[in-house]
Amino acid sequence: MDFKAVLRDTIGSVDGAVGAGLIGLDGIVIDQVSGKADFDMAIAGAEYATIVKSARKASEEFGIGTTNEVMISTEKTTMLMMTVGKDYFVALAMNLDGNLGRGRLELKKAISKIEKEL
Amino acid sequence: MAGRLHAAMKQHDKAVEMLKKVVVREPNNLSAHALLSQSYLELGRLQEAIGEFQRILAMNPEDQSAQQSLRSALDKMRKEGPSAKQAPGAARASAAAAAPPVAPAPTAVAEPPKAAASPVSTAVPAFAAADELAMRGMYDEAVEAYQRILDVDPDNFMARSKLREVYRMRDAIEAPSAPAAGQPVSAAAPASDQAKETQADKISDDEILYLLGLMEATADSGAAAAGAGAGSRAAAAGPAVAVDEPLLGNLEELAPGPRVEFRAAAPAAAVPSVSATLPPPVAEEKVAEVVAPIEAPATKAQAAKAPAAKAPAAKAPAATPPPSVEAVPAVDEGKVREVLARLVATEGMRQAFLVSGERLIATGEALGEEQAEHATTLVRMLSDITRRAAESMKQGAAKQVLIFGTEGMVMVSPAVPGILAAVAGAGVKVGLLRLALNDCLRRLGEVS
Repeated sequence: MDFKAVLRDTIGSVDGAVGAGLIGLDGIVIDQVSGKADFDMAIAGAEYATIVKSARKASEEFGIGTTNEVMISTEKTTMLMMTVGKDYFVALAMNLDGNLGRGRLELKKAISKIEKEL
Repeated sequence: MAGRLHAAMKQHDKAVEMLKKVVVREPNNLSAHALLSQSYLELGRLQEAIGEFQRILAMNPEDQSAQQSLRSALDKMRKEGPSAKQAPGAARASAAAAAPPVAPAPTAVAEPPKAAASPVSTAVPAFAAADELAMRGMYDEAVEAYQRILDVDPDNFMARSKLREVYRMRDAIEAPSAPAAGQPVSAAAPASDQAKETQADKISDDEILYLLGLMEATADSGAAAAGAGAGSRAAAAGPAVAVDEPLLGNLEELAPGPRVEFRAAAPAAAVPSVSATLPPPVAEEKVAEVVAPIEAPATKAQAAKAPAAKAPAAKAPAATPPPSVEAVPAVDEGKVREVLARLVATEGMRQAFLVSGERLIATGEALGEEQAEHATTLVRMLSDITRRAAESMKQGAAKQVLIFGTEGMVMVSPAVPGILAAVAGAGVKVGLLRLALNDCLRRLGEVS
């Protein structure tokens, strides 16, 4: 499976997307595509894996079921993360003016493709 | 003090023996690995200590304390080389010191060690000892242990959280008829069962000395030179101390007197929990030391009394004020509630709360005291992790975290007077909620 091709299609379909990656919950990046020189998904992977794991715990405690998506907004980017099975998640980084709704939609499409392979 | 430390040092040999058996039997017991690593360090068996830290990290790669400790140990090994402190029977440490660098550590650990040992580097065994004390219901001692960690590292979020947990457990002793939901069933067991378990779980004061020794030797590296103070507690210990659980199992061989029945050690957990019987009723003056760390709506009046009750009655070690989280601007609680109520009125919203310093101001579905505390801890944790992640990736300050679950969503956002969090039910409109949240943030800024 060419995960990179799926990720490339995803960022190509979303206005403002700057990078995407398939990441394990252990923080190891399986594959990534970056459209911005200063955005390194390898660094982001470890940080966001921690966030996804914390989000899972929070979901349990707050009674909102199983975590399937986390969105983080910072001063410079918005990061969408969607879980793929138990051990992986796909992350999509976007500029602040990116199309979030489109990003979520395209990420879900990418996940359905990746899930089949994983 | 010297005698006490000497006793503690002698205990490390025994401790290694028994802890090795524990980790063979329970390879995932993080507390046992942490204690074992400390005992190895005390014995100068650096190589084996490093091995234990690596095992801890294999089980929990994000354990920053273990990472720091491992870095320190590797640094120490490199610096001391063959002249490293040798303890009887520590030949392997010498061999290791002369050998090439140890097996590759996790990536996060392999970076060059920092010049000075971080406060966190001493926290792993100190945490383990504090956790053990808390697990045995020795809450006063556990409070002291966590406070020692905070003395060294005031920003240690985990120590603050655990300290609050211990305070909560001490609170629970006062109201045994209504145990907190998070407590194990045995904590609420009938008195006869508790008495039976307490009797079954008597261990020697050596075990207590060992734990206290670990706690003091690690949290205060200068304790050996101080020479006084800690011995008083050792002297005060009786010939036998009843505790609620065996010391990491396998104590039958060490406990003096008639054979007692020990239960298996509790599995490792991120947050210590009381896993067996409660200690005897707490004296009134000790109860006065209990501080309500957050102000849940239902216990507002109770919490308001706590600081006043605490100050005069506190004994010396516990007189340290509970750790403050951060300096926050004063908030008008009434106005904050109005703003939060407006947010909760949004379609699909269940709860909204503001964590401001030590306080939790909540609206919407009622939160029990324990729920409020869990919510506070989680909100802080999410906020903290996200902030650090954003900073490390140079993405500016974190502004908002949204967690989408199968049955709802949670939003966490830094606000002017603290951290704003909201919980919504399933089928909620995300765009609408984000608008409402932004409106709430703006209004909070206005009323603060």
